[in-house]
Amino acid sequence: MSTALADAPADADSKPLRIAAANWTVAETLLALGVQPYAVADIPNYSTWVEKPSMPASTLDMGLRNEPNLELLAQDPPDLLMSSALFSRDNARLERLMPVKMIDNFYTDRSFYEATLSMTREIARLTDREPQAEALIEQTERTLERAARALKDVETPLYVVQFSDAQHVRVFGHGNMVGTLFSRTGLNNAWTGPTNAWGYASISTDRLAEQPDARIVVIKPYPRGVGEALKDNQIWQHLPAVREGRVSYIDPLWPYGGLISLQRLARSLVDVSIRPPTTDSATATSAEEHTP
Amino acid sequence: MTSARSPAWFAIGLTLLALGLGYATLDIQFADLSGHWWQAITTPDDDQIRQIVMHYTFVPRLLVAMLGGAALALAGCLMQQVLRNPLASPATLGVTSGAQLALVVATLWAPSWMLAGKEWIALAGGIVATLLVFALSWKRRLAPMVVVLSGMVVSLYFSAINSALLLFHQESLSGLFIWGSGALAQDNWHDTQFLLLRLGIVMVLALLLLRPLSLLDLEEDGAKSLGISLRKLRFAGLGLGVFMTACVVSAIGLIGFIGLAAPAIARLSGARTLAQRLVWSMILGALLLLVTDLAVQQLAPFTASLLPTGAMTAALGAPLLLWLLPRLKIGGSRPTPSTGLTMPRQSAPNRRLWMLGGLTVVACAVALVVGFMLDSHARYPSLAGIDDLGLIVDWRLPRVATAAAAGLMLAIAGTLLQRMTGNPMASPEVLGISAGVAIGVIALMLLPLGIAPLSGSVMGFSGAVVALLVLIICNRRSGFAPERLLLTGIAISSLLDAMRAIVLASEDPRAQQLLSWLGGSTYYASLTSSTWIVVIAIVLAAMALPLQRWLTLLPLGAPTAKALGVDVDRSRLLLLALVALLTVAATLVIGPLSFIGLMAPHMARLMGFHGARHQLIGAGLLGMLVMVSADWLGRNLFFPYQLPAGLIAALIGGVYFMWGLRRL
Repeated sequence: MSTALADAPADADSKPLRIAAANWTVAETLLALGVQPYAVADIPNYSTWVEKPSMPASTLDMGLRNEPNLELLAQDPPDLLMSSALFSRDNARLERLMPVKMIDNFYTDRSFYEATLSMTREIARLTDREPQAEALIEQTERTLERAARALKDVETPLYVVQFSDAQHVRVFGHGNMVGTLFSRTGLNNAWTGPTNAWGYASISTDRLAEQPDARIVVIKPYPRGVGEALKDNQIWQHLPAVREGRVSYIDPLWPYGGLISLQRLARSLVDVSIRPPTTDSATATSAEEHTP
Repeated sequence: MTSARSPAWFAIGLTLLALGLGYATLDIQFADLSGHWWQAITTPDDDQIRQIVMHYTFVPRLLVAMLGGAALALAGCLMQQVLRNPLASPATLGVTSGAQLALVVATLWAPSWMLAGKEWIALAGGIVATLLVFALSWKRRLAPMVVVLSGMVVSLYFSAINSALLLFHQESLSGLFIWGSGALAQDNWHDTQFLLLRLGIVMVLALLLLRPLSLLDLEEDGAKSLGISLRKLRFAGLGLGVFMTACVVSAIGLIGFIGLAAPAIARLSGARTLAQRLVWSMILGALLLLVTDLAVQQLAPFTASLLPTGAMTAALGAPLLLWLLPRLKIGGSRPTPSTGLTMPRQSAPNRRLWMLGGLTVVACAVALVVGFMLDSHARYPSLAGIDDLGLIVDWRLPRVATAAAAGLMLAIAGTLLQRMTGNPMASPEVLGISAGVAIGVIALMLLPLGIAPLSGSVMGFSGAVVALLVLIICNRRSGFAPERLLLTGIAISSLLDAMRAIVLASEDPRAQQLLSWLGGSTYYASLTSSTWIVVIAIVLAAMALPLQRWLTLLPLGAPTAKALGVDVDRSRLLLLALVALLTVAATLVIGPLSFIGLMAPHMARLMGFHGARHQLIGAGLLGMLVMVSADWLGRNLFFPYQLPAGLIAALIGGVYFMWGLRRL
């Protein structure tokens, strides 16, 4: 059981704990704490959608995120499986194989940031990396404070979006790291509509015109074909933000992720808000078409 | 239906509804532009984003909805005329899902082709689906019900392949969920121009064909004597319909049932000649899609998820199809007392049963022992040794046992249904009983009810019972004519398909779990749960065996059976209850789409098991054999990624079903 594991003084140096993570956010946090995960689900897609920290080649791929391959894990069970809310049915059965701990920063009753902090501390406790976790949290706090200082005078409201296809975006709001950044800094979210359990709403691009003065931040990657199709999207091309060069593009990061993703988002937002964005949005549009 | 009415009244009603909803949308969404509406539509000010939005989204969306609806109705009308089949339509002939699958495959593996012209890829997919449907119904000389049955099976099969692809490409295909469920959002005039041009061309060509096509209303010989090449005429008419459908699918995605509903309503409300039917179908089709889309737009501001118009029309279309069925005059065959496949009676079925049993045991053993082994960081396929007993007992045995039990139950349910109805294509999956279970479970998931431990099975059972009631009510008057019965079942299944599309497009967090359950994964089988399901399977199978007297006598027809002392009503009711129980238990663990219930009894008969007892046992063994193999393939084909067993079984079983259809 997991309690037995936590009580035993884990000798991290002599025998590194072998951790399997079903959730990309947990995988990201493990890497941030300096733990090389033993197995992670769906690594090819992790590399596309989360990107950083990059996954070591030695980590095992254990299949789909909501159905990690148990036959694989059973042959050389890890010392701990960190399961997720998406994959949490029937843990009693898994516990005969290895200790299992449900770790997730969504589906809690706390705010995203609170939940992510306690997730990080929980992972650190289980892997005996408390100092590293406190350092990471410290670092995140500093990044957030720096971001807050830098963004103090930014008045322009902001849409943070990720494209689903050329006509639809996920616009982020309350309930994930974008919400955290908006509440911790002076930034205003231009999206005030309802959001779902993961803190986003699926909308068509014309609704980005509801706040004409807003700046738009696009999280990459684009789904296939979107870069091309956007050139024909007259709404997108006519949005004041696009016409007046107030659109910025940031590298792939996992908006539902952990503190590293949060820091990356904070830095990216500061970058794009302070520095004038690339005027030639067309080049950014066609750049790096994503093909996993 | 009374013929005093004219489609005009229906059209006027829909127009008023559309005007009302349209005005409401304008008033709510574009109140700030009031007074400038016309100017915004015709000459928007480039610097006024609100005018741009109105010019590039609201107006093209209205037009695309009308053009798309009209185009699908035109396609449906042409298909119905050419095939002289009131149930033909782009969706029921499998053309839409063929086009969709082609586009998904192209997006994944040949994105550059998409730039060359989506409609040609969609057209290729549509043509493949059409050819497949024709190949399947050729022997029955394209009999209306057989054509539609083949079409819907092809359609369900293609959407099973689609599900498999989606399981592996969740993140990068989220846009395809949206498109696949028919969202009509517009951002330029391209789609409008695209559809207008193609609709115009097809309309002109259809006009040229109007006279010869209307001669098809005469008896075939009459038309022939007028010197028309029927084959060329049919080819041209059908080709136009398929092309029109491909254009709509590539422009705006999957829109269900408009192509079936609009011509049917036009006909039922009094449009007589082909010209009348074409015109009224297009008007009604345009209005139907427009009204649905405007209603969907009204709801959009209140939710964080997308409401897909196309899936909504499909969900509304399934009940419509059920309602239309008894009202349409469809030439169907009588129930045939002796079942379809005739194979030479072979001797010694007992010996072959033992051989089959042996084979099943071997398959189970292989499924338990052969798998991927892990050696530090390399994986390779290998035999498990005695040291790996824990692995086998804990992680392979429950899945193998669950698959076997589900296969057994579905096979027995299928055998019961086929013998009881004297219909060689009857099975829990094809008759929509499994879909009923799934609809019940999805409803449970979506309703904000507390989840009691057994609620899944209770809702599933209610779903199965409702599906059975629908089957009985819709078919009692026709005396359970086989094709009509099957079509009812397929309509229930397509309702499930629409619900699935809506849930997937909503990006509900539970959608992935749902997708994996609908695919029929044995992933969550544990020793305890598999013990239960095995016990249930054995008990229900043991209950079915003593019923062999009924199963022998019922296929002879009710009067004969009665004369031989069978209480027909009571026996049917008991058998149906048993079928419902078997289906619920199997569907809850293996999902609704596996085709085992159809396939196993057939294979049993092909192997020469004709007697009721032999067929029951043979089918049961075959069901276990196929399901265990499917589960093994799903676990190992893409190790460590796993495909659900039900999906693999459906892909195997679908081929078998199509093959069986040829001989229906």
